[in-house]
Amino acid sequence: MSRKKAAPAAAPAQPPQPQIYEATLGPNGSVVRGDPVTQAQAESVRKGGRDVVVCGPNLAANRSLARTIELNANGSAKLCPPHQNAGPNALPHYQPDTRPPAGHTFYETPNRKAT
Amino acid sequence: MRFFTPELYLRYNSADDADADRADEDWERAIREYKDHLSKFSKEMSSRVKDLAENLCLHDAELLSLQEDTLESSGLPIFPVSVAIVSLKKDSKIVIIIYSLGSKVVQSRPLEEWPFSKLRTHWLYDEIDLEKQRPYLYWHRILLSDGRVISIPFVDVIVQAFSEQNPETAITSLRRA
Repeated sequence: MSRKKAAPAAAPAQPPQPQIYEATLGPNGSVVRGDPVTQAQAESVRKGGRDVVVCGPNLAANRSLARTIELNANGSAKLCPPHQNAGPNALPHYQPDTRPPAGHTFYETPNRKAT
Repeated sequence: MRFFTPELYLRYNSADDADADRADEDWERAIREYKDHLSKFSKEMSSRVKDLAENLCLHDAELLSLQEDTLESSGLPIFPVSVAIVSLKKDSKIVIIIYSLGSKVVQSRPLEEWPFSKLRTHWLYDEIDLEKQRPYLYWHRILLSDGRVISIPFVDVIVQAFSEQNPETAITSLRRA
């Protein structure tokens, strides 16, 4: 009895890469997504003291990219989880360990999304 | 700190993805547990304490000064009155918090492994607690960016905020509980 040749295993699906956007602060602590930007553009936005947000389904990937952006832009990165009174839509963010510049590199988590 | 502890904050900043992911879950749990905690004595809080506990967000405000002092007058029974005054700068606003103290302010030292800058101290996270042994005494515990935790025992509080560019509003504003 001839055995059917097993079909080659499908390559594992690549998880979607995080996407970076310019960002502004909205009501109730929300982070409002703006135009998409490249990593280099995001670092330039952060050097100017404005906000960016990293979006995607993978928490670790979002966090890692956000940290890289903040480090490249400002040389140091301190991660701040959302403050309890900042609102249900507030996002965790990196910021320089000592300011200036102003602004944040936000990222999405499984529980918190940009709007 | 009972909920937003320095240890949890450091775990949130862990370079290890698994640790940091767990800390993210633990932080969300801490927020839920803190809100449950506040709801247990929400009805006992004055409107000013309630506002401080439930609405004020001073995250990332720069600490300008923290002063503890006593008002004294020899003839009046209401004195001495101990106060603590915390001055902060948040964006373009100056925020002044005046506490009527119930006892001494306590400062804890940072954890030895605290990795963040001790320059230009900023407000990170804070929580309000009710002292069960003594009615109407609250604790405001504040985790600062230099790793210290300031614990302020108070019976009442006034929060004043005004624009740095337009300080006239500070002179003319008047708010009663």
